[in-house]
Amino acid sequence: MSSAQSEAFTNAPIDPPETPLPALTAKHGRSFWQIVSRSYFRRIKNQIATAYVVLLAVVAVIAPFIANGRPYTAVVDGKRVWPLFRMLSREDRIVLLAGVGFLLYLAVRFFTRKRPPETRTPVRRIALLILVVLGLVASGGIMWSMRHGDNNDLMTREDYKGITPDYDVQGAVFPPLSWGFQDSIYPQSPETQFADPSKEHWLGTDESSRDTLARLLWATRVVFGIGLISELISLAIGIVYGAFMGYFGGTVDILGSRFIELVESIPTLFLIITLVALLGREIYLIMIVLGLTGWTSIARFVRAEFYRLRKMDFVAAAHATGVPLTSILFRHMLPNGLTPILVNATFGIAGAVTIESSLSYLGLGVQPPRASWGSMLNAAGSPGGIFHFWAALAPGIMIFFTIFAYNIIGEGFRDAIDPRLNRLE
Amino acid sequence: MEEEPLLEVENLVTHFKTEDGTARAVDGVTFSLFPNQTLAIVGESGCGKSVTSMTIMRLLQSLPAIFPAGSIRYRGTELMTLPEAQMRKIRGGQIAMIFQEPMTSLNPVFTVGEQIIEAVLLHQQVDRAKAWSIAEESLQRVGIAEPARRLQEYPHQMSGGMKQRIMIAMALACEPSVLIADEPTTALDVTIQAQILELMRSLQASAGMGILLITHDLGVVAENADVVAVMYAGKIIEYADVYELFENPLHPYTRGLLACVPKLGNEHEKLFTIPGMVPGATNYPQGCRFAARCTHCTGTAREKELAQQPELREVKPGHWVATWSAPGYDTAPETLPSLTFRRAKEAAQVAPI
Repeated sequence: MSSAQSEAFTNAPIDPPETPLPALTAKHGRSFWQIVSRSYFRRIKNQIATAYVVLLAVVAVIAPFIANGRPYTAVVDGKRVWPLFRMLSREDRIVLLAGVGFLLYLAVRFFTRKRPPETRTPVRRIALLILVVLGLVASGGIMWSMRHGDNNDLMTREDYKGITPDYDVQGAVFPPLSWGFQDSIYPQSPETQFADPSKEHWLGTDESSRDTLARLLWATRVVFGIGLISELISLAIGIVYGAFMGYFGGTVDILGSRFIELVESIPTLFLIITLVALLGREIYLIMIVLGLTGWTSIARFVRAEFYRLRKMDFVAAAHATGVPLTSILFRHMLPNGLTPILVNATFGIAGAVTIESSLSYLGLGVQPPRASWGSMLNAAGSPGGIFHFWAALAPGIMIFFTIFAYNIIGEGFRDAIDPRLNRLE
Repeated sequence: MEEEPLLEVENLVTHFKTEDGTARAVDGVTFSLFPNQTLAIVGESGCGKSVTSMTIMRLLQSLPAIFPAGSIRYRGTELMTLPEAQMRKIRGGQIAMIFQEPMTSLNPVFTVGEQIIEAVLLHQQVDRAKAWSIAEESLQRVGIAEPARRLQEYPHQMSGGMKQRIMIAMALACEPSVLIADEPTTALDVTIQAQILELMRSLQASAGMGILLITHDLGVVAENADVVAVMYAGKIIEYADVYELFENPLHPYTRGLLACVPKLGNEHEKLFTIPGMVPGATNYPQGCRFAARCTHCTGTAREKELAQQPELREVKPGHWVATWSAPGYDTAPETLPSLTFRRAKEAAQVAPI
């Protein structure tokens, strides 16, 4: 140790050891989340379920780019156009930007992992800057192409494919699956409806001669969006509500609990059906209603956690350091009580998926021709009471596996957290 | 000329509403703390010493505590009525606190570095890089080897003594002028205890802090304190310079406490105990709160003890006591001790030890 230090405190009895301590095995200490994630990913079922959900998320983001009836690019009447990008809706745009943003966030996290400032070298900063610039350029390009990529929104899949002779189309580059969620086989005939799987249509077709696989892929967006957005709304409300209830206790707690019971007494499914009947079919309405009614269980968990945590010494220590209340609640206490909340949220997503599928099955979900697994199931059975096996199989399996995967993730997460005390050593 | 006191506590009262009635946890406590002074508050469990420290920091807000009276002044600023936003600046920045349990006083989800720099960033106008170097420096000051690496570790990677040193480093990183140490060594091994106390003493010498040391360990008091306040049932019952108190304890409770300390060599003797229990805070007797356990007061002193609660009186220069049995108590001035106690060291020069 430095001589200046021992000079400054000559009467200090603790002489720091002259030789450095033996190096730890890990460069940095492992945080709680690192320990949890390690034990979580040790189980193969957790790996599979997580991979499945990640795959679902990726498909949801890139669905327009892998299953689309319009080409990425083509030369129409001697002019180069970008029909697929032109077609992207506002939602597509938002989802895509969110996807790019998430990747950027991961990159930023990777380059600015918790380190003392002196280890942040210029190279890291430059790499980070390049990544950010690339992300901005990519999203800017997508936005630009939407406005300037095409000159004819009336062209159909058949026009680009050259099936109809109205346009002169050269060098069209199609996505791997050249069917969108609304492209019907041209020309339609009874043979093309509810067709069995074939080379062209791997999972067959539906009642309007649309490709089942394409619709299945597009429907992941609905499932993912419903689960995620409604759960985020629930989390935001539930955490803040439960935190104040648990921290302050007493009258706040009693009144808060009564209000939770009030909200819980509302039958969500019937509320949504009523609102859909009143305000029309709108997927966002369903998301918001699910979010506004689903927060109660989260609030209960948060309340219980905060009730336990508020008596902890480190909370008193944070108070004694002069940390403001909101910071104590959400920066110091929340991370310590987050695990049961996240487990609950995972199950909440599974619940939201179930409700959306039920609603769509009842014909109250997404607006046709938009696809959702529930509405695909409904279509497979409804016309004329004939059950179309292939049209029902794929969405049924997807609903099953998705809810199954979320439940496995929730359970795996819970198991990974529970015995943590044994693993800390 | 006397130095200005850092902390003046006057007639502090903290009562709790409970189902059994009002618990008078702290019932009229008065003391002052000067720069470079260590004031020890001694007493058995439940006598109100921790509640006193929590009240000074105003940490009891979330509990149904009521403050019917009292005044806490930090360098002349009244803390009782200070707005919460300003109180936050004082907490940690001016008055820091070390808790009893180092094991649980650090947040398990953050590295110790993050926790220290949070305190630094709250109270000093510095950027993160500077805060980080302050944290490193303060870790070095408390004698932790390889501070840069330790800052990146989580609390569960450290031993109890190390965590307590981290707590001290955290408390000292903002250079407070008052340090409240609530049983800082109770949870630690004896060897670590000695190191921590020695450390606090040396840091006090270099920074001129006032330390409010709350403990039930008389050994710790004898080693570290300049002035001692003995608390019993929510009140200070004896207040004196540390030498004076150990040489010449006047209150029967203080005498009992000192007699309880085991001595080497007396192996065949049974340890002394004070008979009885501390009365419950909801139903104190009308007279002296120690009366039920007192074997010392006789005659008129006993009668008075049962009838009237004794207040602190200065029976000797620099030695306050609240018992009818103390010599000269009856003739001592009837008033409460003056708010600003004379600086104990000066008082000790006057008083023959």
